[in-house]
Amino acid sequence: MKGKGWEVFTNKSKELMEDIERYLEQITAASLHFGEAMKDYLQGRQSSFNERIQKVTEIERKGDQDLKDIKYKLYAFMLIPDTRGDVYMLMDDLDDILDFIKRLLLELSMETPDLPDCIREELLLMCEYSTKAVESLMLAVRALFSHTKAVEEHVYRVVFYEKEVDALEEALVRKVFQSSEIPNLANRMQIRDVCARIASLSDISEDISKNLLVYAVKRMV
Amino acid sequence: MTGLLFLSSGLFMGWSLGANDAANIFGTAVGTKMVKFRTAAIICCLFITFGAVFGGSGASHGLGSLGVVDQLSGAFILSLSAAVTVLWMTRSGLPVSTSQAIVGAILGWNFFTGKSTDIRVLTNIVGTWVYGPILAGVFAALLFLLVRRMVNSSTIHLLLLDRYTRGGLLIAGAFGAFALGANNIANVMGVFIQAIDLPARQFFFISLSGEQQLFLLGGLAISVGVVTYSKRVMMTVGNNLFKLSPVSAFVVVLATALVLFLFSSTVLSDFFISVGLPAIPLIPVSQSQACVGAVLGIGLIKGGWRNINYRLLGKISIGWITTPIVSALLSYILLFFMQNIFLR
Repeated sequence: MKGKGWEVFTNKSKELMEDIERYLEQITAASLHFGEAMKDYLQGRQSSFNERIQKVTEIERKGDQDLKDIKYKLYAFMLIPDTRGDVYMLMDDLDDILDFIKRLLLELSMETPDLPDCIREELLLMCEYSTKAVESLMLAVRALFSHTKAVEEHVYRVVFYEKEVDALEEALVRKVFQSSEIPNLANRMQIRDVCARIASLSDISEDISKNLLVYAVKRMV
Repeated sequence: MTGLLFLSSGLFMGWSLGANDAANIFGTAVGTKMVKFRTAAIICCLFITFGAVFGGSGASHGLGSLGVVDQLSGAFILSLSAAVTVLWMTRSGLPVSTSQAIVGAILGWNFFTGKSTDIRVLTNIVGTWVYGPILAGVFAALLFLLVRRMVNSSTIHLLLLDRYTRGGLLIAGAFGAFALGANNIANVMGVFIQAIDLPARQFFFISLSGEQQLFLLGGLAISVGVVTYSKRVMMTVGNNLFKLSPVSAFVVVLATALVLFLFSSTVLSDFFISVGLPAIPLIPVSQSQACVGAVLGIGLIKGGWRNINYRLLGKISIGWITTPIVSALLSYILLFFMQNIFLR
């Protein structure tokens, strides 16, 4: 028997749950690869860096395919209209993270900016906090699906890491423009741009997490 | 054939009930496209008819105790008066209940034939108009608190919760349809019970008494109303009138069904008597008004007294008075015409 209503007796929900979980795992994997790729780049391990880019590109490609399936299943079989719309928007927003990580790493590989040793530690810390912001966001997303009350706590962590990244970015840019070790203005501006792009990852996570809070409030009966 | 002609007003009443009241059961689910209309209609038709045939006698006899209509032509006029009242008040945008219309029509019959009206029975009936919606509100509030506690503290995956909610809506809808059939068949066929004497018949494996055959006919008329016209009403309920969340819709349907079931179950009433409690009056109650009561019950839990639409409450209260009066007057006038013009 086909048609809405009878799917209650089929197992499409489980299939969709698995698709969404796989998609979230891919985002987590991409953010971890991003952290490692930045370490590779800063320590001059070019071939390892290129491998990471390939992995992220592959994850992004799979992610796009999974997203397409999820969207189709959401509308073909599933969900209360309001919730369905929220999940759809959330999945779409999360795709921005995958796209952004891929683009950031590709731009780095194309532009090959000179990132001197004196800022390496701060840059790595920025990357670490940005990755943590994404990880906390993933926990918040999972909480939305199965433990709504915990969403707020995870969102708080996302906001915390975003603020930390912002503070690090500001300090780093000041340091770059005051440092005598980086005399070239073009180089200084390029580093500033790299910092801004790394910080954008946590900004995107924060934006999504704020929407997530709204979805969580709506989910509470 | 003449019998069927006289039954036509009752069948029209059944059609009207199916067209309007099925929306209170599946309005949100169908209006928001969570459940296909076809699925909702099949469940409605099956369970309304099932409820009417196997659970309809309690409320029908309750209504019968208000006044015995022993002439088929009289029953036809009563049913017609109630149906016209419902139609006219609906078209005028006034809240109306088929239960109140049929009670008014019976009162008109009692006045016309000079039969006395049992005030105790009438008080019981009028009482249910007031405490039916209140009871639905209390049931809805309690159920909502329970469901909210369960949902908010559970770790059920959102997608599974969605599945359970939809399943819950289908099950509550089936129960709602059964209760509607059991309780409101009295409005459709109640007045004909004493006027038509049908012999018991065997339908496949089931033996149906004359009364049950009438209820089956009424159930089929309601089903025709569901299939032919209720989709339009459902889309309105789902999108405009009561914009309920699916969980709230589940609670409203369940609370309303509980009230209708309570006022039609002979088993439950007998159980009350057996444990020393007063008998439950088995009387047709307004499903729409119980539904409004249930929505208000949830509104109270969610946002306190500020959420109550006092204008709507006022309109319903006016309906309690105007519907039976209009219906009683109309049945009196029509009975007068029938006796003095057609039967002379």
